[in-house]
Amino acid sequence: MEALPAELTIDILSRLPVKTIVHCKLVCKKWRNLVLDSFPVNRHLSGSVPIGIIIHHNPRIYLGGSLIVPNDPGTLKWVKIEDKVDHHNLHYNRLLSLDLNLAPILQNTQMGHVGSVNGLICLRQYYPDLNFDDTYICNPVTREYMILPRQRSRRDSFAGVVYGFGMSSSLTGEYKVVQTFQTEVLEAEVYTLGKGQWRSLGPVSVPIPYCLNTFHQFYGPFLNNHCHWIVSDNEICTFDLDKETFQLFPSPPVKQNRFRRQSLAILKGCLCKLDTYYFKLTIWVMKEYGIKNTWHKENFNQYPSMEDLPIELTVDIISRLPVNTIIHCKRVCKKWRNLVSDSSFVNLHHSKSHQTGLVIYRRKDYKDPGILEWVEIVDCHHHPFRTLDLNLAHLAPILQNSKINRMVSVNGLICLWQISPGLKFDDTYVCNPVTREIIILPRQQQKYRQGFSSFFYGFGVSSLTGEYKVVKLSQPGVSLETNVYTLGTRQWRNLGQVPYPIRASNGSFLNDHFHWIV
Amino acid sequence: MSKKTLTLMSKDKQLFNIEEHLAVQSVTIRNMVKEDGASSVIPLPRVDSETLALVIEYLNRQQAPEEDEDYVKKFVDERGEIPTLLELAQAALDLDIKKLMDAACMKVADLIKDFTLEEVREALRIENDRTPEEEKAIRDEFQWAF
Repeated sequence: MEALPAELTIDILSRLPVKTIVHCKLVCKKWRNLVLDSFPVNRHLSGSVPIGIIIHHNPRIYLGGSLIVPNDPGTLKWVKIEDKVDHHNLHYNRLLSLDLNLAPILQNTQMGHVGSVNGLICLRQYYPDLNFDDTYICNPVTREYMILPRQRSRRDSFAGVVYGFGMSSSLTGEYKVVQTFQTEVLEAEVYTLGKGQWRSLGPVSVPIPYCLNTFHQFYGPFLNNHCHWIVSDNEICTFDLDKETFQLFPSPPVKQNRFRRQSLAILKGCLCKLDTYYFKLTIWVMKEYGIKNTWHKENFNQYPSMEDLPIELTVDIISRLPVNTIIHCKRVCKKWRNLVSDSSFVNLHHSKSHQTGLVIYRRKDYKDPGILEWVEIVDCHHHPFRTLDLNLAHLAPILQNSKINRMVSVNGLICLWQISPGLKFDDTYVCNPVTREIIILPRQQQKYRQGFSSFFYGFGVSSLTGEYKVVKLSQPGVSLETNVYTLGTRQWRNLGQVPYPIRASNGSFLNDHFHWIV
Repeated sequence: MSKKTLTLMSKDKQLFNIEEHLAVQSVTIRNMVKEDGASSVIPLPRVDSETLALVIEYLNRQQAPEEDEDYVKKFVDERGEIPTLLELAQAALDLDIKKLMDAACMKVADLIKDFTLEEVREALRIENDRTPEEEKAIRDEFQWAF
């Protein structure tokens, strides 16, 4: 091999996978120099090497709904893309990812991707506690990086800061890093690789307003000798790397401004803009560079959203969630809320969840409205019970000075009865401990007999119609009367007198029938 | 007696062969075979080729009945990515393969049960259709429940 011309060696090396090129540096001194010096990054890309992307994997933490960016810099990974011709899914093989392992120097900082040209990437390292940052140019193939000197001017804040990395079209093909920053006016500085210092460009004429989402502003994709940024809601600004001037640039037509994220990228050699609103991604592609009416909406397949899948699946999946987390589903979206609160869901959840539980009513004293507890029975010796407090605190005002007298459950729904002191009225609650919903049945307009009164209750479901019914036997006058309330009908129906003298309190429900001892 | 083979066609027009006695684990296919003998290609317009390949792998399993439960569980465990599981569950729903659908749905439920609200939306690609005011209202309503 050593007798062969260097060009041939380079050609062979350039066809190696990215992962193994770095080992070539170790083979011999000659190879090391070949890889480091005469190994133009663009030659490597023109070889048969698979297309890769560098992803910056940064752990994100959500706390109370807001994003906390931790001090962990994350890792940079080279990911190979397997793009199939017959359909357009992108696949990546995690095993091929290449950890650039910059962690030691990136400790306690955050990273941002500025841009990439010919396989070189420009990264920006930001020190959250100090008001400055460092810029790296990194060659992931040879795993080399250089740190640019810090900029001369000291800026006041991160307002109006954008970064870009590109290559001028002049014969020398200089790589340049540009950044803007706010002092009294908006200024710009350029660093040309190899020159050793930042050069001021003076005030910038294009307004780059303060952007709340500054993190997205550090990525300025390079195309056609220009770096590009989104500078306000829907404006695109460019920097010409030859003339070193800023300009506004035609942006795609946008009807509504309802984006969660906007970003620019290069796709198949065209500038494109990605608008994200949750998972609705819109890709605009500028077919001919610089011509406004060539912005065009790209159609593509996305991973399925739960919303595109049959509703049965959603219901099935939610119904398998444990009792203590199902409550959160109500907050996911309106559709889920309706699903969970639907009466048919009660039965389904009851049949799908393999949790067995007991509802226990506890109170300290007469004035305490008490609490309802869900006690899960786990079939395990060490932790036979797991409790979930179905806090009835919000019912406290209405439960004050009274107590829950009776409790019956069917299919995971619980029916509760409360009798006021002095038998002035009684209230009936139907409670779903899973969704933590409680409905209060209307009171009956009837006077109770003074003195001794009997109340007998039953709660069950008709296997024929699926209707839940509450049966109440009460003694407003001399005789015991039957009233039935069907859930959803909003009123009690009187079924007349009970022909038997009933003694025991609760009706037991089985096989579509209530049973009382007479 | 030679084993009869059926051909299934995915959404992206790929063809898969499977022996009939294995394919009829799908109630949908069983009914089709009963009705018209299903001599031609059976189209599955909602199932892509990757998912169908998984379904075929599942149908071709050679497990003793007593090990089957464990096998199904392991089968979905190995494909623990939510998008894959959702596609698999949808295919199992369309093809009416109850065990597979149960296992896939159970796995998704297991994965999302400890997620935060935002993570559930991210993982299942569900758009939050509430305004911040509605969001606050529902949080207040269930304050006592958290």
